Amino acid sequence: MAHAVAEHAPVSYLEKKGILSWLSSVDHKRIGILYLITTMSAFLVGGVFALLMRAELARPGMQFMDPQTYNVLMTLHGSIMIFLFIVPGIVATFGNFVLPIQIGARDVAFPVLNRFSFQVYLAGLFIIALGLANPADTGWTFYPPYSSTTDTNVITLTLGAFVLGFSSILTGINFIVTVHKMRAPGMTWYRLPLFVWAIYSASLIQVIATPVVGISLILLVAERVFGVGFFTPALGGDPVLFQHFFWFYSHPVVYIMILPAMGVVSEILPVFSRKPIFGYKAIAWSSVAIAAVSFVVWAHHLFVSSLSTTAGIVFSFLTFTVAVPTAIKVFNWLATLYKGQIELKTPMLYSLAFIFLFIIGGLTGLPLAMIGVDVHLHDTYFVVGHFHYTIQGGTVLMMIAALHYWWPKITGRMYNEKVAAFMFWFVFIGFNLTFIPQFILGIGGMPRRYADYLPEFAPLHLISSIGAYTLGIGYFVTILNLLISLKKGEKAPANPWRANTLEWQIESPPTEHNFHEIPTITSWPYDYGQKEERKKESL
Amino acid sequence: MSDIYPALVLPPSASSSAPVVDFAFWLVMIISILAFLVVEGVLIYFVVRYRRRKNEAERETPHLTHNTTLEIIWTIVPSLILLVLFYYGYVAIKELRNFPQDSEVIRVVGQKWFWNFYYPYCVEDQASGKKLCISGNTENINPEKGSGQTQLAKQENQFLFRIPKGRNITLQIESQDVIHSLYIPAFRVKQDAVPGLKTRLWFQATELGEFPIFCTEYCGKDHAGMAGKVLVMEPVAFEQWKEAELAKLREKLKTIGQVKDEATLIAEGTRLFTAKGCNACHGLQGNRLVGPPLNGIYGKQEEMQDGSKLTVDDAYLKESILKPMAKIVKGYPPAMPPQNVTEDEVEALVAFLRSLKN
Ligand code: HEC
Ligand code: HEM
Ligand SMILES: [Cu+2]
Ligand SMILES: [Cu+2]
Repeated sequence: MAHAVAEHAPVSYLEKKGILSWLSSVDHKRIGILYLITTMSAFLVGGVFALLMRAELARPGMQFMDPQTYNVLMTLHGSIMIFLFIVPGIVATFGNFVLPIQIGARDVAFPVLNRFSFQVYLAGLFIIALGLANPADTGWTFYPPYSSTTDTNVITLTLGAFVLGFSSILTGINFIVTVHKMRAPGMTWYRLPLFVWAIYSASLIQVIATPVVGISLILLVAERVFGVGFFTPALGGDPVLFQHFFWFYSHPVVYIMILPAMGVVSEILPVFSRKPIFGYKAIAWSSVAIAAVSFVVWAHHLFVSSLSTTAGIVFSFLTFTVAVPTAIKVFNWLATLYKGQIELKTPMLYSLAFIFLFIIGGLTGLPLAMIGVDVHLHDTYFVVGHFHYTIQGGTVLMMIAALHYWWPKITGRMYNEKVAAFMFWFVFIGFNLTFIPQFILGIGGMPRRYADYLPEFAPLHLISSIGAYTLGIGYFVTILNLLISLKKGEKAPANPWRANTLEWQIESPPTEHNFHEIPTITSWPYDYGQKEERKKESL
Repeated sequence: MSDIYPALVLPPSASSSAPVVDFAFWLVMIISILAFLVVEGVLIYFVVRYRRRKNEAERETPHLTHNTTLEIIWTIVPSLILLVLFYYGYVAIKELRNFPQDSEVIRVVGQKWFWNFYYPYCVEDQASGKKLCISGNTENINPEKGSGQTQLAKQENQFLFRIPKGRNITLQIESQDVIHSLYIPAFRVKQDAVPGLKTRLWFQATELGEFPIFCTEYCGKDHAGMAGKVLVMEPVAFEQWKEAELAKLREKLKTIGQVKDEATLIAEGTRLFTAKGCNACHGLQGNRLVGPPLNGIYGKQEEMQDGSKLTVDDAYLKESILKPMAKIVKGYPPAMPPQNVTEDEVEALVAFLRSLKN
């Protein structure tokens, strides 16, 4: 098959037009783009809900909505952002588009299965949309017995999340097999780009953890529909059991979100500082270590929910062990910058912002991991601040970085650098303005998921709302800028960033089968900035 | 409201455990801020120092791929710091969970969307065996619409959870419906109220004054309104209040057992229907909520889950409220939790239901 392709004239993968040609395609690049469109649309919708909440919270008392509407918005915002946007997020979009090319393959191991994953994702999306007539008000965590007694459409939302879980499992399996079986000749494990290591680790978590949340969501549905008692005490069930199940998945899931972001940052930093990545093996293996340890820390979400004190102390200790590989990665990224020649293009700006914000996200995990301190901070705005610094400051910002970094490759167009770099500052400043006040609110005792609050919390909430709208403008114009470039952008060269990974060695946009001839790999992809003879010496 | 506290840093430290928690908190804050300054400082310094300036030519960069010594140092040093933090978190939880032997046990029951407090101070009528205890709930700050936070701030006719300063208090926490979480920031305590379980927390208040109580586990519509205030009093003043309350109960005890007229019962039942949260699950306009509508139910023929039929009468209503799982109405989930009601209250509720027309 390989030589048959090489004989044809190169055709861009974007050549075929029409909705059907997209939906029926098994090309990993096209599937990646389909995910990109759906996940970014989910991001937009979830974002609008967040802005509505922040409008209500700008002042104490109820302004525009009643508490029930607020609760529904809170639930939809969380569920959409988690299940529809950030979990598929980088893995399904850039993982699909970039990973096969980076390992020198023409596609993933199971292209048809890959298309099926996306169809399953659409099915999940559809089921969730069905429930919008009477949307759920449980929060994205679905704690029973509230979730088993409220008269809103909990079933559609949980079933939707359950179906999305399948999509996630299938994608995970596909990537794991692809990395094992489809690497080009000479592409040894230690020559893999770190993005591949990261997606690989995240896929492992997806495959192992997702079934557990799937089962617990199905049990919840069974309880609601048939009155079988699993979690509701009145029926003989145990509500805390659900929390254990849920967090057994949902703690690892935060690493499904962040590992790919760490992978992207490890790609962008060397390219834009013209230096090899520092501590390749440490970064690669700390991804795997984080994936492993993330399975034994779940009960840190349950410190005050009747968990025994002894168990709490053990889980507090285990939680601290996750912080170590996390810190190691940050130090490695910093060392990569050392004596580099740092080019502050948009992808790099976002990557640096990622490091800046992720340090805050990681450090604020520490008081939460200290069990005696978490008793005070649990379920306050401090936790809201913490996970937004990690998830939004981490994953969302790297999603935007990845969009700009791979945009020329994906679309064959250059975006407007001036606008993108300018809007970056809206995002960065808006983000900090939104979430720094939330740490202070949480320390002061302001509980989360509140439609209203005491007047003394008002000034900080107002600042947070102003920040949120700044952030909203930043994201909106940033995405608009990218879309405009589809029509107005300059044609992109094959390798505008002078990067070494394989996707930059082929056309922009790539041909249908990526490579005219499968390359043979002779070195790792991070040899930047030094002379030829040095390069050889380092191998 | 700044008489409660300015929400800038930690709330006032008003319990004997608070200083232990605060020490751990400030320790991690100081370490984090130092780490923040150092690491972000390095980041910013590198970016400024090594950035490519305008029109700068390509520069030779060193081929640094790893440095084992450095990597070992930056693994071990953070690990040691984390170990210290873990230890102080451990010390703080030991203090928070070190339940004293000699403490007053007060029962707290959470329900949508208020807290009930049951003191162990009771009066008893030897002859009839009836017993009344001091109790109260935060329901009156839970408005029709809105969240109650505003009223909490305005200090309008609200129930205060009174406790004496300097005495060990253990709260035994339960829930009637869904999970709630009792949070008193000034005491640095928080514990979930889980239906079907009894959880507990303890504190010894060290400062006089009023401090907010919140619910921190999302529990539905008025979660944000499930708030109240604890009032820490001088022990002497507390004893006076307690005696006055007991005296009122003694008066009330006398009237119990006397036959009440129907109108009083209905009025009492109407109040209880909302106060006890029945309205969260039962509509009165023929509308289905979690449970069946209750208007016009009296005297009706009803089919149960097991196919049996019955006519709704006093005994059935009483049983439905006291033992909801005994008989399940056909077409509904067995989702009614056991209700926290006294015999008298059931009587009033039944009278109220009896009075409802279709
Ligand atoms: C968590 C929701 C919930 C709450 C709170 C609740 N109920 Fe129910 N109730 C139900 C459900 C569900 C049923 C139907 C299943 C059954 O028969 O147990 C029911 C059944 C009943 C019935 C029998 C109705 C019939 O048609 O035969 C009565 C009477 C009743 N409840 C009274 C009350 C009263 C009085 C209160 C307040 C003290 C209350 N309920 C609180 C959920 C609730
Ligand atoms: C240094 C590493 C980290 C530590 C020590 C840490 C610790 C914790 C702890 C103890 C909690 C529970 C707090 C509570 O509810 O009381 C928590 C919550 C949370 N963390 Fe982290 N965390 C770390 C990194 C991350 C990362 C990288 C992410 C995401 C990418 C993340 C996402 C979350 C989320 C989503 C929650 C709250 C979920 C919810 O309640 O809705 N954390 N973290
Ligand atoms: Cu976690
Ligand atoms: Cu609540």
